[in-house]
Amino acid sequence: MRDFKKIGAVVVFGIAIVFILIFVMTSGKKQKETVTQIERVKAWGSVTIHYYRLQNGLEVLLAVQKEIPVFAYYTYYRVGSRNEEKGKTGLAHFFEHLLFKESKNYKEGEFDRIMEEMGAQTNASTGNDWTNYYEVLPADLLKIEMAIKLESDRMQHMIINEAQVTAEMGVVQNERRLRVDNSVEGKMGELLGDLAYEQHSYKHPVIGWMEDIEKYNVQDCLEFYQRYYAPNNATLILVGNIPVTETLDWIEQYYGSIAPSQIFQKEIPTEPPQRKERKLKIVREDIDVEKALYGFHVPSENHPDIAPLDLLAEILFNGEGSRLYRRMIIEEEIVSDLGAGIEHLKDPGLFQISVAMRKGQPVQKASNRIFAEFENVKKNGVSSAELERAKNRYEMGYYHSLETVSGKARNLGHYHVVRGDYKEALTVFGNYARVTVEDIHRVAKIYFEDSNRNSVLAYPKRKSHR
Amino acid sequence: MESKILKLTTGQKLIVAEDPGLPLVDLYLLVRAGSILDSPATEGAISFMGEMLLRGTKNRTRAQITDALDQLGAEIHVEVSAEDMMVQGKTLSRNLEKFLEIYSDIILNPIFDENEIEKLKRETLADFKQMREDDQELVGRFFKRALYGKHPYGMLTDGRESTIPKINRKRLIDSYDALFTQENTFFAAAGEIKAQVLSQRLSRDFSAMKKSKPTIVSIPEFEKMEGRTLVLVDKPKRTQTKVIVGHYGINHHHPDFFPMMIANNAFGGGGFATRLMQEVRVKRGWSYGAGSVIRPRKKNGEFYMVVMPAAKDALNALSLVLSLYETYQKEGISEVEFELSKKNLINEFAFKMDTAKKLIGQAISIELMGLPQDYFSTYQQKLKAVTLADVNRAVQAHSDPKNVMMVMVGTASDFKAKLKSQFGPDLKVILKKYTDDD
Repeated sequence: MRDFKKIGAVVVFGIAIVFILIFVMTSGKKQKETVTQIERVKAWGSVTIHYYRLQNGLEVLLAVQKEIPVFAYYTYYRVGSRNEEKGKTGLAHFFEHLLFKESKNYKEGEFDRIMEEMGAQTNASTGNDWTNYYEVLPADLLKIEMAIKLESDRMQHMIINEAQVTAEMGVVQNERRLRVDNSVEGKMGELLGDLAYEQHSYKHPVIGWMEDIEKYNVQDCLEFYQRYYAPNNATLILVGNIPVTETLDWIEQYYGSIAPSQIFQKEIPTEPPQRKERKLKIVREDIDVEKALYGFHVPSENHPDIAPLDLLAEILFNGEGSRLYRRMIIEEEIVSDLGAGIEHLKDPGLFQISVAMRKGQPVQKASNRIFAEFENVKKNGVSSAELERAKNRYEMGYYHSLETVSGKARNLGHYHVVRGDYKEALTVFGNYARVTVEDIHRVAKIYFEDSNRNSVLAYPKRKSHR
Repeated sequence: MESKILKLTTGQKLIVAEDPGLPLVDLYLLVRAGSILDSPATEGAISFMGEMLLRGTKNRTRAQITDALDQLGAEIHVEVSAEDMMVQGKTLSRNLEKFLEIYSDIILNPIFDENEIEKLKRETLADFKQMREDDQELVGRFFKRALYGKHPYGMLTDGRESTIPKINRKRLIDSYDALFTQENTFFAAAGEIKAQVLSQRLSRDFSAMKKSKPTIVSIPEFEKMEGRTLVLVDKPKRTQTKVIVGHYGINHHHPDFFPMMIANNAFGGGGFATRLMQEVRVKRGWSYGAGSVIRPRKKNGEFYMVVMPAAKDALNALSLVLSLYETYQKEGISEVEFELSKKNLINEFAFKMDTAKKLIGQAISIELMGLPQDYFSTYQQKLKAVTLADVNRAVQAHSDPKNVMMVMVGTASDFKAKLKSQFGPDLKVILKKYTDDD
């Protein structure tokens, strides 16, 4: 994030309603010479999505929700930390900062000034697979046009020079100190990625290694900008009270002349299967209790096993009613914090489990119980009541994520960029609703082997650490 | 979308915004007092009592409550702040009927089981260990404590390591009995609901709620603050510091409240164009974030500035913040800053009403803070009426750079020796360890 909020491997857990009906009302209709309407889709409640493509490759999703007095404007670029090279890690995130600076048409600070005058909330975020830039604004024609003008400007006209790169490097170094160096959880997350991956670029942190951040130069930044910031590498997602015709006209007017780029698709190495358990121990002066972060390799977001794995995380680890929360936090009182989740990524990610022990309790106790519980599930499966609970929690989480125009835009953006089709955001709950106890049993047996496990263990200083 | 207020047959208000957009319902019971009623010896007891509502009723054990909610895909959380409490429920709308059975049960029939009390004490103490890992949390806690001292606003809502063990069942029952009455509470709901149907159901379910005279909360005067004090909270191996600088602020009812909102929005409360952000982050790259906040309470509340510089830049960043604050107090804001800030606040008002939950949030604020009924309907109009002269007169009157409380979380040995030379001999320095309870 450019400001205050959390970055990192951005995880979007999504579930959609089974009974949502998707009506594809039009397809392949020519709107104008340079704009093609792909389809019109009925989505959540009163929301209708209009999907277009410009001749230069820019994709546009206009999700109209008339009763809302604001609109969200998200630009998703298909570039994230996955596209970075060794020695230049963190560049995708660095752009998140640079794109708020000077352009050929707007002086330093002018973007923020104009946006703030209009009452906008602006920010950006970077994940492994994408970078997004967004503003949420009161819905009126002047503001819609101005937002389109400013966003199209920074897609093509940013000035990247020595002074800007140097100034922003300092800010990003401070951001890294905040999120990683002075945060136990941040540090453990970074170490887990480094431990679990050998070849794939998911190995390095989204924010980048400090020694790489210190070496950014203008040439690297210019190349990155020219390569990835182009209409054929982007999707615009507008959600809220927007007039379709005018909005589309302005998008065509301001983006239509931007030339597409030759997107360089660097081959990202496939991660070889892990054959042996990996373990890393750290000692810190600023913690008082032992902690663990485990990661098991699991498939990419579009794999059918993701839904049962998500639900297994709910059944075993998440919420007071989960098996291990109930046992280790409520009954035995040996753990103070427990949770699990999957990174929903384009390429295979990790099923992560985090544990914080209570004072004096060895983390080994939690490890023993967690791994024994996986063995138990492999042998005996889970009950249908447990599965029902997990599905209900998921459904609730999904709707919760759709409450604002930004939430809707983020869901559409994630599914469009990571899974290749925004409509997955509308139907994803079907994947969860169809999961059976047999599916859970099956995935437990496939993924939770010792040889597929990575462990980062943190011990307070002065404790003997084994 | 709009919100409306209904009256239950119990006399309690129900604020509702119907929104059929998603199949969700948010339901709130609001209590008109909070942890400010704690006694210093058992600080944290009211928050503890709130959590105990979920730990067993006459009809359900803690596990049965959890299981029942989970099966519905529902949640209930109790949030306690200094001046109010909220029992917040969220459910899929198709399960509203069943959800309400649990919701009313935990509010009306908690048993405060001794075993669960002891269990929650151990859990709370373990949570404090986790909390001390979070520098942001630490700096906020130490600042609140240092600024307000023994004033009730200085109490920590979730208590302290030394006070949690002293909480007992009688204290919990007494505070529950005092607060959970028809006269001290009201409801709010948003989502896929029918206001009349919900009103009838709540009237029926909460007719059993105790009646009493409303609890009167009297808030004492603040102690006068003199000079500059720095509380240095020592934590090992920090490459970055967290710094808060501030003093008492003003409340919503003060005629200078709107001028001060505009001023603060220009100084550090707005976005990237603010003076603090431009000077600390954009020009110097010293801190990832820099901002200022006016936090109104029923009585004044606080104004504070926040930066998070690398340890090597910490003292220079603190000097800069103090100097910017002095200039702000002396010269106020410029015409350009004023225009930008005013437009920003007027335009961003749309975000106070873009969801049903925010709409009822406005009505809740009016009820809890005792704001005029037209507070939000005249909000933009009041901002429009403010002039630059109003703003700069208010800034001079309410800013006090000579008398501030400062808290810095960092590794003390990095800069302890340099403090007096950089900030003058009059600076009062108080050294604390990050594990200190008080």
